[in-house]
Amino acid sequence: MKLFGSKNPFLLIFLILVLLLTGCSSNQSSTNSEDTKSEGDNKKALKIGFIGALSGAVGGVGQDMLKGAELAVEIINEEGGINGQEVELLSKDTKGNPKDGIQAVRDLTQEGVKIFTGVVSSGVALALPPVLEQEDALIMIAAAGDDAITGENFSPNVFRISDNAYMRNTSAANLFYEKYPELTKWANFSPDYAYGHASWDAFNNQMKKINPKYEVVKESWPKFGATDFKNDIASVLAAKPQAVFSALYSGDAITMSKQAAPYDFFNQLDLFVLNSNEGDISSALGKEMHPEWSGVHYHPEAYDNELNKKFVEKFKEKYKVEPNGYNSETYVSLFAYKEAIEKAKSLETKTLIKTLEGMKFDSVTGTREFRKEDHQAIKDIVWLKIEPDNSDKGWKIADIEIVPGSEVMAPLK
Amino acid sequence: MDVVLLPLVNGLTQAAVLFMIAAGLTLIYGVLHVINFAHGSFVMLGSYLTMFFFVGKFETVTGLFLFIFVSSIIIALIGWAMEVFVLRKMYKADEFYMVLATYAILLMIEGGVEKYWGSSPLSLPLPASLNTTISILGISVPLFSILICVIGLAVMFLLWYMMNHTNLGKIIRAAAADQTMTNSLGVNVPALFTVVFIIGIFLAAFAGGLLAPTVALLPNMGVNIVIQAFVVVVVGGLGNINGALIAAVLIGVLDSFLGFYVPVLTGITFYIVMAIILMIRPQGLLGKA
Repeated sequence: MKLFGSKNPFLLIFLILVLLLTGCSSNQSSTNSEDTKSEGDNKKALKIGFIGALSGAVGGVGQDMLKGAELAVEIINEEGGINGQEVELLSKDTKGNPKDGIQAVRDLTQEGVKIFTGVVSSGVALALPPVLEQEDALIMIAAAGDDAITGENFSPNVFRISDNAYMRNTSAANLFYEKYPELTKWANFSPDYAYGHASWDAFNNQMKKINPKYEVVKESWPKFGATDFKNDIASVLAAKPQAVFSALYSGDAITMSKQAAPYDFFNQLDLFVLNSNEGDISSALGKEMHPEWSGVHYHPEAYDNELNKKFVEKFKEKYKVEPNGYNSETYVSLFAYKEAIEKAKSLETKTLIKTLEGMKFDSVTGTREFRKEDHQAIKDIVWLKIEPDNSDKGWKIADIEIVPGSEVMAPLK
Repeated sequence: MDVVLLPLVNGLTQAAVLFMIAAGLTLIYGVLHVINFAHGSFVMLGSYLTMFFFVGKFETVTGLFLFIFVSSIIIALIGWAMEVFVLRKMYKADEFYMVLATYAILLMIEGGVEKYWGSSPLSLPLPASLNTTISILGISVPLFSILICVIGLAVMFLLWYMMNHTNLGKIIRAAAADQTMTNSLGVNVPALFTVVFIIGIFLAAFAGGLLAPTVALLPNMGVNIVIQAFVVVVVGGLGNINGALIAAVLIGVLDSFLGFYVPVLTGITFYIVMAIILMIRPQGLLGKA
């Protein structure tokens, strides 16, 4: 019997399902996975690696992060490099898979990279410590939010420049209890994987602590990457919450919003909180955008300082759009490396780790500091109140709230 | 009542779209013996092309359905080129090579879409008059979901009519049953293959266009849905359109009810149902033993 003959269609179908589930979900990237190298003589260039999902379900997030890193490298080189050394950025697509993330680190260390930035997915971030320690390399996580990255899975070779699930969602509980103390009936609408659960746990635990009348009327856990949220939408509405907390992001948040609109979902709520909308969701939805409070790493209008002005101006010049929080964090990470390397006057990983621990540095969001004990950056959490309007964009930012990171840092264990 | 009607309508909506995709897959398999790996990317292309024509140009209900149709025609022509220039040269080769060829086409389509539209999620806004609910037995049901169910029924009827009451349908059924005999009776089998492939791709693109206003558009969006369509094809019986219909409704509705009442099973219902049915009937519901 032929292995793949028409006599054996089920075997063939099985092969296809396996390939679709493993191969296609990590879409091949065409030129994106190739190294992006700056011009010029690279013999003495300081190589910095970007690794992140540049294709697949969250490829857009990785692409945005790469833009921030590319702009930072351009500016650093224009201003004389790091310790007079030109910087070269090399990038690899992790496709959002831990396996490909590990391979990306291995490939780039073969090319002489010891310093990394990026990482969209917490799964990838959590898989990296062994290979980083083996290769004596260092990474600054610039998006992945799982608490374990700087918590129970702490590695000396991993720093996080962006906030984590605990900080983001504890700040949400504090802020929205203060703003809307009359809202007591809450529902959860978050993706059923580590990040969704970590987000809800932080929000839910803090609300229980501070709001004596707080009540959870429904918890809905759709699968990450689901294409149909209608049953979840109907069951959340049936529980009649006053407010909904959601940790959906990127494509999932857009699909959910589109499917919720016919049910008049958002108008039946007093408050909808989405903990991660870096502008990608509002921009995609445009005139379909619903009212919400969005948690972001950064927003160009939230800060009035020289570093932010320069970042916004240069970013718009290069990419013709305003920067978002995926762009900002990798951008900031490159300047943090610059400051640490120039302080340490060394590229040795152990020395750099020592220098970064406890280091305070200026950024587009004001001063940040790497907490010595867990390598988590103490940084602001920004919340935006988004309201639909009749502008060409379809929505406006009606209010901005900044919660200082120092108020919401996870207690050290 | 809403705890029955809403999951039912959601399940039937899912079934309608799945049926259109699975019908194309199973039709192509039944006649060409090709398992089209690229089928999902044609669904995705249907969504993107509809968005390309619709957004900022003619954003009305008429515009939406017109562009879904126009996009499906254009994509069916791409399917025609794929069959004539790629698949036709490979029918005599082992099916495994066909899988590789269609997989290569999938990668090319996804890569092309990513290059042109980027990998960030995009959205096609549903016209306001469709973005509402209608009251059925006092329950608010999304109007567009009802429309998708109705369109699914219409497609089902047209396919049934074509297969059972037209010469083309008779020839397709004959070719599926015995290709050698069909060929010796003077039927131009290569041309028939092309026609069948075009119909299958048209259905995939049409389903993609209908999906577009209800989901975020992503270059890899076809993958999940085509996996579900493969399950429907297998459960229905390879090459059997009626089986695909029964399987799509059965699985779509079961998945919706289980998702509503046992949320932890959302997303895996498909595979549970497939496993149970294949244990009882390895050839699928209406497949030949």
